[in-house]
Amino acid sequence: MSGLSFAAPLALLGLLALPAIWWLLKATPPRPVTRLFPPLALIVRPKHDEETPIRTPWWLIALRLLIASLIVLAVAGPILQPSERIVRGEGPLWLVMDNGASAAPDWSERRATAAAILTEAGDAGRPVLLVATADGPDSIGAQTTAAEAVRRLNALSPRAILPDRASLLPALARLAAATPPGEVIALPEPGDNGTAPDFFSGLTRLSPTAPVTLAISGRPAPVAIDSVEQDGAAVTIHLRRPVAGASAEGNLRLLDRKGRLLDERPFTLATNDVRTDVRFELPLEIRNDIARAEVTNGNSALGVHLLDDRWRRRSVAIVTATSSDAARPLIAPEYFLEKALAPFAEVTVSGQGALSDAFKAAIDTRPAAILVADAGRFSAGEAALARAFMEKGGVLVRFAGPRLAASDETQVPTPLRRGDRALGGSLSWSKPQALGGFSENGPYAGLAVPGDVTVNRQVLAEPGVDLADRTWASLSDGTPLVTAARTGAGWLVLFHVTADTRWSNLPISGTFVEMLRRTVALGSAAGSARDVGGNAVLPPLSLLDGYGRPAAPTAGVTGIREPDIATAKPSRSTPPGLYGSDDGFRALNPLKPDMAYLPPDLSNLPGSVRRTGLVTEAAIELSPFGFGLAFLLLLADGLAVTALAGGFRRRRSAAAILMIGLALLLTPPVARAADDARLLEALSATRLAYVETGVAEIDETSRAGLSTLSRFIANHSSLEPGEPMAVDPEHDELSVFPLIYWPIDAAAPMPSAAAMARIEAFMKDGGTVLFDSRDDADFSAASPNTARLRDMLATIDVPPLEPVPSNHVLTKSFYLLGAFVGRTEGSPLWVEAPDDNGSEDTSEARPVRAGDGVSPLLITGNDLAGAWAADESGAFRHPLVPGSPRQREFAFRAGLNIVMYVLTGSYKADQVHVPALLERLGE
Amino acid sequence: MAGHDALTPEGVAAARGLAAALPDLLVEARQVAGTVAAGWHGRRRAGPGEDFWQFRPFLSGESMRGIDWRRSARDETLYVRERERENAHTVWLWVDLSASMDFRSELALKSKQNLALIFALALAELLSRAGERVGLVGDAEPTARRDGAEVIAMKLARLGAVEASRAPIAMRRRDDAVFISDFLGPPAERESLFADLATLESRVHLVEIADPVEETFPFAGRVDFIDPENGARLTAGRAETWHDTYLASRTEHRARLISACRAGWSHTLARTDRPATETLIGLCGQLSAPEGGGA
Repeated sequence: MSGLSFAAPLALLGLLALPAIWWLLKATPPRPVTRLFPPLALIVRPKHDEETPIRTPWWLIALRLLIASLIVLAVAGPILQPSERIVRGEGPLWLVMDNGASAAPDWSERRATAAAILTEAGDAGRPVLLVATADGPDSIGAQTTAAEAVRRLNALSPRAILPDRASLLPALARLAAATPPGEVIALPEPGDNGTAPDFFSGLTRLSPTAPVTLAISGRPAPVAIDSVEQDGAAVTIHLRRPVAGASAEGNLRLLDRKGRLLDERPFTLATNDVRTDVRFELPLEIRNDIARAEVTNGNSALGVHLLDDRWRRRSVAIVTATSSDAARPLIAPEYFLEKALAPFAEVTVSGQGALSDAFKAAIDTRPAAILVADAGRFSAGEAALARAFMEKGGVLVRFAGPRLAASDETQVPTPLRRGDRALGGSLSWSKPQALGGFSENGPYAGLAVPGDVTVNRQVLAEPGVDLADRTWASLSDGTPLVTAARTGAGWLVLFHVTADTRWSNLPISGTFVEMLRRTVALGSAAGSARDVGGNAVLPPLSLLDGYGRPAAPTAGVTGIREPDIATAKPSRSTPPGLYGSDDGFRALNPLKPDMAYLPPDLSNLPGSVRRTGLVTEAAIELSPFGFGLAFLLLLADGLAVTALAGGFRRRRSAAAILMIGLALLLTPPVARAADDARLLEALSATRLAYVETGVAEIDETSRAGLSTLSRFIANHSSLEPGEPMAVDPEHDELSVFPLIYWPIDAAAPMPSAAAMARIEAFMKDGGTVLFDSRDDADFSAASPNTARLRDMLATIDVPPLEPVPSNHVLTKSFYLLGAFVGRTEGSPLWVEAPDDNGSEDTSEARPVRAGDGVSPLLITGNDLAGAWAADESGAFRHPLVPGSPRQREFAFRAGLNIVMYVLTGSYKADQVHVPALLERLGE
Repeated sequence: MAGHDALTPEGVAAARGLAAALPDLLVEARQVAGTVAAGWHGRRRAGPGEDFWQFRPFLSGESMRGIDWRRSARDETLYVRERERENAHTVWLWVDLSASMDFRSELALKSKQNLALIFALALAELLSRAGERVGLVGDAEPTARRDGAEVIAMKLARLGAVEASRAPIAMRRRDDAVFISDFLGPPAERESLFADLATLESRVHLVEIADPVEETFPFAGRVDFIDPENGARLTAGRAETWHDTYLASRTEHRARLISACRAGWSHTLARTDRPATETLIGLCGQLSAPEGGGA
């Protein structure tokens, strides 16, 4: 039913006026020819004055009628509706909108559809009730006007939960009893938690007469992350979708807490698959950083899975037996262990005291693993602590050593023989043993066996039936090197060598790092992670919005008790997100494996329910096109009338009109290509530059003035400047000029901010700009030109300024000058004030300011270029004011001093010390 | 017929335009005058007057009082001192420089004002060459200089548009007056001026300048007429139907103008599509005609 509709169809009645317009056009006389006629008073108006009938050609009338009908049509507000109309009933319109997480990917289309429905209802003057299902029954208000509903609609956003629709029906039923709906339109979302069938069939029962329409999006439900698992070596992400459908492809990515991308893998859901797994094989340290897994560009909270600090880096404690090792820290066992653990774990070393104290301290840090280097027999208390630690999932890693070898320790995976076995050495026939291999059952399976690891000495296990099962690594002669035993949820692991290099070179092998990494990874972080708050209520920290983006907690969000968080379901009051504080938090994810994520089952709805799609394309309002076309035709009509009236008879005016039209139509962007030749020319000599104001007289004065000054400088100094160039600060490269002369004229256009930024960059890079307000006004005084200059400088960073003090290097850089006169001599020259304001030293000892840099800007009002400017024959262009003798000469000297100052900087300041230095040298 | 106030910008602009046009017109006026002068002899003849004219031999029978003894003493014959004939008839010129005169249609050779100025200057040239005194209405004194055209041109540039509702104060009895205008101004002023002049017994020559468009009314279709004098508009639906009534009205207007002329006065119609010489010859004839009749 796509087609044209009119917002104000009654306006089409205006088309009836077309015949009248036609008649009027026919009857209206043409525009009279105007003639001067001096004896006007002699003209006698005849009694029956006839009107000249129009001689308008038929096509002009047709054009005018077309214009009229276009305007009438445009006023009627034609709307081209490309898609089907949804609204069909009468009376109050109830719009039930799902705003759960699965509605997020196509939320804009949903909102556009809803807006179209509401607007249409508003045009018909129908009251409207907007129900957002994920907002719960409390948000259902009373029927409102459509305009208000549209405002509310614009404020709606999808939530990160699947709507619990069951709670809505009673409220809606109560409302329907009071004010029955005339029509119900629902926009169900593609994901459902099982509440959809009852709800939508309930909608059909709200009113026996109200037609029900379901506008169902054609977009499939977003792929959701069901859960994230990690085993020893990889992270597995389980994906699911509500219903099998067309194959879906996409990417999954892992992000750390700061949102940096850790890894990204593609996934494919085949045509009939509902679930798929994606496996990320990642190094442990990267795995530990994972804070968020998401479907790339999924645009739905369902495709996001948050990970809390149970995924953080494992903390590992090293317990040392004695403090004697501290004397030689670089060969102590802890040192080797620390180095080996550092890449993937947070290491705390507890020691320096009794073993039991150190052990307790280590357990208090809640590590995933405790490494004990060469301790003797554990006392009963220590053994109990260790067992409790392992029961909860910790890994206790022990290393052999002389003390262990000498003890009859029972807290080992397998019974040990007393004493140790020496391999090789001067008193032995045997040779140091190499590492034989890794058990296929143990965590070291698949590690490459290094050929360079040798073991000189080890403790030996008593042979037993289960020794082979408990052995993770063995030497080449088959004796176990690493044994392990499961204790509760944790592990007891024994390395049959020391943690230092006394018994073997294993601790300095790269394999050792990998072995420790895999050992420590066994430690269950869940059991050992820090308690976040005990029994306390965790406040919301960072929540997810419907699109899966982090959002600030809003009102109505409650916290969750920590023990409940594992079982908590996301809801309106407990939306998915992170709960807790920055130090420790728990994640509540939008979807859990036990939560339903189904397609909405709409099969049992009565047949009267109509189903349509969303409004995929917005309705096009044709009014602007109508008005625009009518305007263009009016212009054409004007041209035609002008042509008929002979307005184009003169060829020059016709050409001018044509040119203006073309210029208006085709105003080409002024493409200003980088002019390399110009740049090369600018670089070929030291040149002065001036800014063109656009006022021809000023620009010519600037050019001639700088040109004459350049000749003066060449005559009087060793500097021979090239011809000055005009620059445009908007486009030209400025850095090739040492000094830019900028005459200010209030009538010239204000330079753009970009131009001033370029000027600022030029000044920062060491260039100098000489601003000249040319009106004999002090910069601090108010005149149009100085006001303009202040406006210009307001946008850039201007250093503090001062009038040139008498001891400034500018007064001595070539000539000794008292003032800087130009065409006038009333205005001082302003320069950058030195920043050591407090310590100004004007004494005779320092005759010249030790200003290191050159002032980036000089400001005068004396119209320097006006004094310098001379024409080709050498005659000066402007008289001087007041024209005191030698004023012209002093103007040139001022120019030379300024140029010298800009080019030499503080060199001249140092130069004045030369006589004193020579004198001091004994000359 | 109010001209521009000389102190307003429009007045200054108009005066400037006039001053710029005058030298050219002066040249043209000289040419016209040169053409006409060949057929027109001035009044340089002996007669009663103050100024010396010539000596001539004494004829017997004359009054002895005419003998100039000083001259006669130089030789054997008696001479009579003749005086130049004194011309009591200063000619006053008046050129209408109002806005309605500044009009030129496509059919005309020059604008009405230019033609009027050419007449005035040519007359001034001719009269001053003939030793007549030429005055300008609005100016205090007539001039007797030989370069009367230049003087008049300068005075015209200085005075600008002058209204003529009364006779000049310096005008004496029996002075001639030439009025060059399109006579489209208010008739009341004109009537009072004519009455004034009639009491002075002066001979008045009216030169009516007319654009061919004003004479033939060649308009058709829908025309919006604008009066340059006061900006009044009149829109004709079909101008061709207005042709006859206009011409009748114009004829009536002219008849009224001619009927206002006293005896001895003349009325000349000068169309801007005709050469100036044509009219000027006729005008000179009028001027040099012996004073007749009842004046």
